[in-house]
Amino acid sequence: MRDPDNLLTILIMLGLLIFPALVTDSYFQHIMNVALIYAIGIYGFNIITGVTGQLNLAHAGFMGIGAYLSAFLAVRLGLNFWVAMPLSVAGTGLAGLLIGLPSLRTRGVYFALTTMGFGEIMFIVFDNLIPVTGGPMGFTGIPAPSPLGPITFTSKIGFYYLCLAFLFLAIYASYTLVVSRMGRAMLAVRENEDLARSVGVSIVGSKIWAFVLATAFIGLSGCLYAHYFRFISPVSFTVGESFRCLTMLVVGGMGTLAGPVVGSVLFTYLPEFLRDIEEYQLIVYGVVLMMCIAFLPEGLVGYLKMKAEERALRSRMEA
Amino acid sequence: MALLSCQSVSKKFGGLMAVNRVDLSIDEGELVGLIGPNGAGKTTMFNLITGFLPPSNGRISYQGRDIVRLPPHQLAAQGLVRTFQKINVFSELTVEDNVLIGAHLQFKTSYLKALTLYGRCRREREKFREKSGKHLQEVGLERWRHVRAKNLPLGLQRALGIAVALTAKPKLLLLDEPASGMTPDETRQIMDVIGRVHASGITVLMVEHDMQVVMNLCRRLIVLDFGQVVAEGSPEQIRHDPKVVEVYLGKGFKRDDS
Repeated sequence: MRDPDNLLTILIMLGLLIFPALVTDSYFQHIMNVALIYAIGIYGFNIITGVTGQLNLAHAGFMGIGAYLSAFLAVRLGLNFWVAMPLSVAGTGLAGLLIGLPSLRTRGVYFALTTMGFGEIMFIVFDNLIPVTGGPMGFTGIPAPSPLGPITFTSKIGFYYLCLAFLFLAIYASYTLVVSRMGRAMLAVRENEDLARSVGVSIVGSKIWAFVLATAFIGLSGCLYAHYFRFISPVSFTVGESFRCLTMLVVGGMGTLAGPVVGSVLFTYLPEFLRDIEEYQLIVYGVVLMMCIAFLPEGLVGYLKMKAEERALRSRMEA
Repeated sequence: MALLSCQSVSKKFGGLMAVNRVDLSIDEGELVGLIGPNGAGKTTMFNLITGFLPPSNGRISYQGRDIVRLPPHQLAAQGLVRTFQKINVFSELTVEDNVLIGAHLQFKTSYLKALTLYGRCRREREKFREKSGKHLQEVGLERWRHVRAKNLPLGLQRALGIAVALTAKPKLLLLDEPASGMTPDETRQIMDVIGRVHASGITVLMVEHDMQVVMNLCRRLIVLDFGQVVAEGSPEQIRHDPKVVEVYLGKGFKRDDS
C-alpha cells in the first residue's frame, strides 16, 4: 500500500527544489524563505504535539530562545554562524529538557496550560532582559550565515537553499522517527498512556525525548529566523504566535509527514492575500481554524491519507 | 516457588478498604480465575500487581523478587503484562501497528540507528511484521491488519487488546474481563484463544464475570468480596461453597438440590 502522505512529501520536496527557477519574483521568494523557516519549527511542533500528543503552547517562546541565543553568540561573542547555530539548537533543546522535566509530568490540558505559562514567561524575559535582548527595541545587527567555502547565503536564493537543506533534514528525521523504537513509543503515548505502559513503554522518558527533539528543531527555526531577518524583537515570539503556528500544524495535518510544510506555506502566503483587510486577518485565521476543526479534523494531509486508506480498504475487502 | 505471590496486600482509598489483606499465590503454568461481585476489588488487585497503583500495605513478589515500587513498564519488561477492562487499543493506529507497539520491548533499532542505517531498521520492522502476523492469526485478526483499530467491532477490539499483550511476550498474563460485552460467539472464540495461550506455556490470571467462562477454563478460582478472599478452590468446590453462594445470592438462600 503506497502511503499518499509519503508520496505527497516527495512531490513537495521536488517542487521546492525547483521553486526558485519557477518563481522569479523576489517578493514571493522572500515569502517562501519565511515559510520554510517556519516549516522547520512546525516539524518540531509535530513531534511533540502530532506524534506524541502533548499540546505545546510555548512554541514561539522556544523559537525565541533559539533566535536570541544564536544572535547573542554571533553578535556579542563574535562566533561564526556554523558554531553559533549548533550551540543555539543544543541550547534550545536543553531549555526544552529543563522545562519538560516538570511540565511533562502533567497530562492533557494541564500540560498545554503549563507550556502556555512558560511561553508567556519567555516573552516577558525577552521583553525585559534589555542588556541581553535589547528589550522591545529589538536585537539588531545579526549577521547573515557565514559562507561555507564558495557557497554564500547572503542572497535570497542562497538562504532559500540553506533552509531547504535543513527542512529536508527535518522531514527525514520525522520520517525515520516513527519507524524507530523511540518514535513508536511516542505514538503509543499519544494513543493510550495506560496501554503503552502495560507493554513496557516509559511514558515520561518518551515525552521528554519528544520534547527535547522538538525544541531542538524549533530552536533551529528560531536561529534561521534571526539570521534571515537580521533583526529580532519580542513581538515575534508571543503566545499569539504559538497559536498561529498551531494553526499551521492543525490545518496541514497533525502527525502527518507533509502536513507541517503544507500548513506553513499556506499560512505564510495567506496574510499576503489578506493585506487589504489587515486588521481583520486574525478573524480569518480564527474562522479557518474553526472550520478545519469542524470539517477536517485530520487536516488537509490527514484527510487525503484517510481517503486513500478507505479506498485501499474497500478494494481489499471486495477482492 | 510461586511465580507471583501477594502477602497481606491492602489498598485504602480514603476511608475505603478496597483490598484488605489479601494473600494469593500463583504457580507457573496455572490458569487462575479471580471472581467476585462488582466492587469486590478485583481490578484494584490487578492495578496493584502490575504497578499501576502502589499498595498501602503488604508485599508483592514476582519471580521471587519484591516488585512493589516498580513502574508498569519495568514490570512489562520482566514479562508481567496485563489487559484492561475497558476496551484498550491504540485506536488511531492500524491493527498491525498496534501489535508492533506490543513488541516495543523486543524492538532493537534506536532512533540514532534509524537515522543513520534506515535500511536495517526497515528490515527489523519487516521481521516483526511477520512475527506479529502470527499473533494476529491466533486471535483471528489476520484479515483486519490494515484497518484502524477504532473501526473494528468491539469484540475484535478486545481480541486485539489480547494480541497486543501477547506480542509483549508475557510470562504472566493478567486478563481483566476478556469476555465482557461479547456475543456468545465471540465469547467462545476468546475462550479458545485463552486456552491456547495457556497451553503455549503462559501463566494466566483472569478476572471475569461470565461464570461459564471461568468455570470452564480455570482449574482454580479465587473469590473476592469487599476486598477480602472469601473462598479459593476448584470450580466444583467454589460452586458449592456456602460463603460464595452467600456472596452472590445473599444470606438465607437455600439450594433446591441440597
